[in-house]
Amino acid sequence: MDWERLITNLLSGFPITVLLVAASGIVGNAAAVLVALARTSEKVWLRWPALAFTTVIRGTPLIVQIFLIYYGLGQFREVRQSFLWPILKDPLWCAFLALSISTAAYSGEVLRGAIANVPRGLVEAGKSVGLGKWQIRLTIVLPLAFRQSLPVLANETVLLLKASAIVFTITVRDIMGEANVFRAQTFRVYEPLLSAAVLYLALTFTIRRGFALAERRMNRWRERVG
Amino acid sequence: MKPTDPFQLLGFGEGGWGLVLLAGAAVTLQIALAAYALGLLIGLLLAWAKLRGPWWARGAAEGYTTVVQGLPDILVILLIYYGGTSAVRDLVQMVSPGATVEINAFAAGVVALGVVSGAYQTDVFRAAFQGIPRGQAEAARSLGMRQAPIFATVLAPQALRLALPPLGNVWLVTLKDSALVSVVGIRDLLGVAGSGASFSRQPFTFYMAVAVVYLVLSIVSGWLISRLEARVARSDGRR
Repeated sequence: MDWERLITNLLSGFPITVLLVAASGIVGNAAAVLVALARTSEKVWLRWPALAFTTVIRGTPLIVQIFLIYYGLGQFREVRQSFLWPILKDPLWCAFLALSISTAAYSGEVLRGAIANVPRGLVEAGKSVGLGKWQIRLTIVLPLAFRQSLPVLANETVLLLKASAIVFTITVRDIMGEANVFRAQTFRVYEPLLSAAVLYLALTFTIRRGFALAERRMNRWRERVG
Repeated sequence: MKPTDPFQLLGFGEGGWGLVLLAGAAVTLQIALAAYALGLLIGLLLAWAKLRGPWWARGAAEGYTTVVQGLPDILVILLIYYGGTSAVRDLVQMVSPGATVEINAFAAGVVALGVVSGAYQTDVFRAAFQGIPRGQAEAARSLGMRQAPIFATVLAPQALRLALPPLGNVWLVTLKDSALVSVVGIRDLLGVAGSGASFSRQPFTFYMAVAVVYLVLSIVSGWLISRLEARVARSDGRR
């Protein structure tokens, strides 16, 4: 059992996992704000497509979406000849794309619920002091909704980390990918998979701690009252 | 020249994969349902362990849910599928050397998915039983009811009502998770679609068909779950 090789391999997959989760977490959650705003919009032509988007993405397995993007899109000559092809034939870019889309749908629904829970009185108070629609959205509704959904977003981020492991099926060499290649080459099961498990548990723990800290910071105003 | 027309490829005529895909969809549903049922058993047992069990059972249950919920589902599936089968083989070798065993891929997939589903269902049941006000059991006891009828007629029905919405969510997750067993070579819907995709060189057509089937299953499941919830809420109002 070559432990040195196993550890070097897993550690070379570690930054790929972290990068993938961080990048698609940031881009996906930014897109989720747009999805949530569209879902709560008064305009039907914004609300319906957003509902269709979240229903389709949340109603199908992520692995199917990843296969559709990575293996599926290449079926069309138009795609293969387009300027996007260098991105769409790269497994890492496809993984990032699929995870971002998925995050946009799941977090978008979380934010939609939080936006619906912002007390009406606050919006009316904003109106009565003469704030515009977008001023109310950006300075009252979204900050409150964001703070309220922070614990759920922590969960969603852990789910994103866990979901990111399936990108090894499109040949990305993340932690899971390195562990699986090692398993296939050495016919050893427990050492590579359990070592990968330790890394994932450490990352899960880090994400939970990070969000708990952010939550404490954002709720600091409460401590000064009373 | 192989066919590229989606309707011919996915249809039931000559060169159509319709029947194969249908059989794959049946395997997917069987695996998801069996895994969910196994998860239900695990969930009830470990919720009991967490709430009423001795310290070692409580510790084991806590450890199980924390670890499984912190790991990628696909990693748990690979661990149980490859690790579990090689452990069973080693065990058989120890008992009767030279003997070989064939481990059923379907069963291994069900156990792997069930272990993941069970970790989530454990916390659903625990929260449901914790959500019942203490006074309920105390009132029943003061009426002279015994332990078993209290559980069966007072606690369990209320817990079920509280557990139903999150249990529905876990079903939707388990249904989608079932696509992961194709990674270890099980001929479920995604597995057979992968064969069709590489044979016909029309991957988009096949994976799109898979996505549509899952979407329909999810939407139908969601509709059934909300009807079930409405029913339970109604029976509650009659009391």
